[in-house]
Amino acid sequence: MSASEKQPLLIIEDLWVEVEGKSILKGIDLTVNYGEVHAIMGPNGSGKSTLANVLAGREGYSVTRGRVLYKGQDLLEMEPEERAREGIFLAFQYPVEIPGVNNVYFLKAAVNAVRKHRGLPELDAMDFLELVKEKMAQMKVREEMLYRAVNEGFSGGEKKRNEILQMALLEPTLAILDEIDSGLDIDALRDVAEGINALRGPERAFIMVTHYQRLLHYIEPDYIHVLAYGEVIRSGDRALAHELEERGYGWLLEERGLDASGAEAS
Amino acid sequence: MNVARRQAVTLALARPPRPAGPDWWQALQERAWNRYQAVGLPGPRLDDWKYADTHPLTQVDLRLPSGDVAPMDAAQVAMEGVEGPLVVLVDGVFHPGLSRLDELPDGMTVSPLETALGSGGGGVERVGALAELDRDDAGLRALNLALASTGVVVELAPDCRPSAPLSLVHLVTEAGLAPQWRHVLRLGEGAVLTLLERYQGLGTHWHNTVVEAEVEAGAELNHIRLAEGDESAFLTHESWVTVAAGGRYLGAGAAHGHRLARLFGSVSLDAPEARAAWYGVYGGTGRHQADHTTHTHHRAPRTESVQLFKGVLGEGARGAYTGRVVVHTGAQKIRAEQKNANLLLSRNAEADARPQLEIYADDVQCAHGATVGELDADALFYLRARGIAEADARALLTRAFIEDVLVAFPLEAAARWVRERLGQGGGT
Ligand SMILES: Nc1ncnc2c1ncn2[C@@H]1O[C@H](COP(=O)(O)OP(=O)(O)O)[C@@H](O)[C@H]1O
Ligand SMILES: [Mg+2]
Repeated sequence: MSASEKQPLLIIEDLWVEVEGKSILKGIDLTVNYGEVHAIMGPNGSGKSTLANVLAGREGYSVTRGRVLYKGQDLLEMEPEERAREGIFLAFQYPVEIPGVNNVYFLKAAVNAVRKHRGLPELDAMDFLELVKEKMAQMKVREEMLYRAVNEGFSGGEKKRNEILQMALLEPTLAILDEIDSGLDIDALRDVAEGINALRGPERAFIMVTHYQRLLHYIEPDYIHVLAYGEVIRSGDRALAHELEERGYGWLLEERGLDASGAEAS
Repeated sequence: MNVARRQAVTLALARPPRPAGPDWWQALQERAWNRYQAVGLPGPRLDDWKYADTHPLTQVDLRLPSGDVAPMDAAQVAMEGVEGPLVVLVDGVFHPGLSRLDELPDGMTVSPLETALGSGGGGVERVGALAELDRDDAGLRALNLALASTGVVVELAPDCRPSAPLSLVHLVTEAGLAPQWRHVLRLGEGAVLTLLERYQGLGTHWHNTVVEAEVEAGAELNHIRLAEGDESAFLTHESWVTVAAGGRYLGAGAAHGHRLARLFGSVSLDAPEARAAWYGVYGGTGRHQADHTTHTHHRAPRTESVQLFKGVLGEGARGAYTGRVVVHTGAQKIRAEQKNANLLLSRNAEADARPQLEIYADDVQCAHGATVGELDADALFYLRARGIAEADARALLTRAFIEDVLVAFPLEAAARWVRERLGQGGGT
């Protein structure tokens, strides 16, 4: 796709966010076009999850300035479920365990809620099972996980695979992956990355949040943004990834006159 | 208290002729009546009634049923997925037309109380044997005995194990009625029965029931009570049960929506290896008040009891669980477990939990726990972030909360009934 054909999917303008009266994001600007993969990197505590959560509509964050346009609409006005139905998908840094709710029941409810919104017929139990089994095979998710409670007792890797399985089922337009690589061994990382790469295409975009370089060996981003202390301190293309790999974040922070030890360690 | 007494007397003055019965029955009713006059309706002065307020019961006009059989059709008493013998009790009388007692298995007898009193035998003489009248909280069961108009007398011969449950449907079709139902059961050695009691009513009404059951050695009684009410519905229910060696009693109860629903159960584990299990779910919104109170007596070694009660309380509702476990002298190596958990769907809801242990033996294993919480905000967001509407997400989490109680319900149709009513996750 040439630059002139670029279609904006998400436009974040001067976004300021507070949590419990504390300023966390301080003027974020970011445009994500269809077909692009953006990586957001930065030390722990720099505000990466805050950004991801605000985009997905989690409560507890107050936007004090700025706006977010998604498909040309005011995203911040939408309920979390509306955002999901409109194609926003957040892969959680910490997927939530929900005792008593069967995973397969949950997955079917989610898929049908989204299908209904898109004007597609809801899937019955048989059709859904066929679909989910196909996706599970791709994601190398064991079938017995379908019949357990959502994420309950899943290992770290199983939880992340379950997130990607949900993404594959929901076919989002904008996938926001918050530390999808954390806690994964190398095999799981490869599987998860494969699952993500399989979904790359001109009809959707990705925002990948990570503080490790290694994910970028498996999923090559188009753009990289470094977030520190709630600000994007540097944006660049793939070349920046290589530079970061060699030199770390310290030099960037120093250039900006920030404490090179990074934001609050956590 | 004065108000309660006055109201109680008013109710009694409207007393119709009692069922014709033998002298012993007349004498028993007389004694019960006197006892009721002495103690009145239970009130907040009694520890067991701390969270079950009978005052609203004294503020409504109630009368005893006239004895007429209301016109009903079978669809009004059917319950999906439930087959087997059926006893329909409407407005204080046995309804022969709608009841289904013609195909009882060998060894099982079910008779209306008034029939059993007329013919004698069949176990009717055990009415009043378990539900003691001496304590000062005996008011409701004394009143019940004095004024009981009908009920069933059930006997199972040894090893009789009907495959379908026995259903008792209690209905009020006319506002203002206060039927007094009395049931007595005996399960012979090795017999197994599922008893499903259902309660419904129109307008202001009060169901007052007492069940007495003897579970002989190795026998099993699965006892389910499902009650649906609204802001003008009252239900008070007492179960008095004894369990012999290796026998088992399982009490499962659910009440939804009543102004006051109180389910009380007393089980006496009289011989080694006798077991009891109590499961309960309650909830509603508005001025709903639910109270589950259990007394579990471990009177013999190696007896076991488990209890799991869960409340789902919406705007303005109150729910209480009181579980008294008494481990009597010599009842060594017993196990007793109690758990109560409440989900508050509104800041305006109230849950009270009281596990009470009295232990007079030294080698025992007793555990109890109680929790009160709200729907998990993280779980709610997770579901919504996948496109599930907030109301559906709340319902899903609410059903999940009570699911572990429901899987213990001994009849899937009963579990479904509860899921449909309490699993909505309404409230604000
Ligand atoms: N719910 C919350 N309550 C209080 N502080 C929070 C909350 N969420 C995030 N923070 C604070 O906001 C800052 C950014 O956190 P986060 O967005 O999780 O960073 P990252 O994902 O980059 O590690 C941290 O200082 C963190 O302590
Ligand atoms: Mg984070």
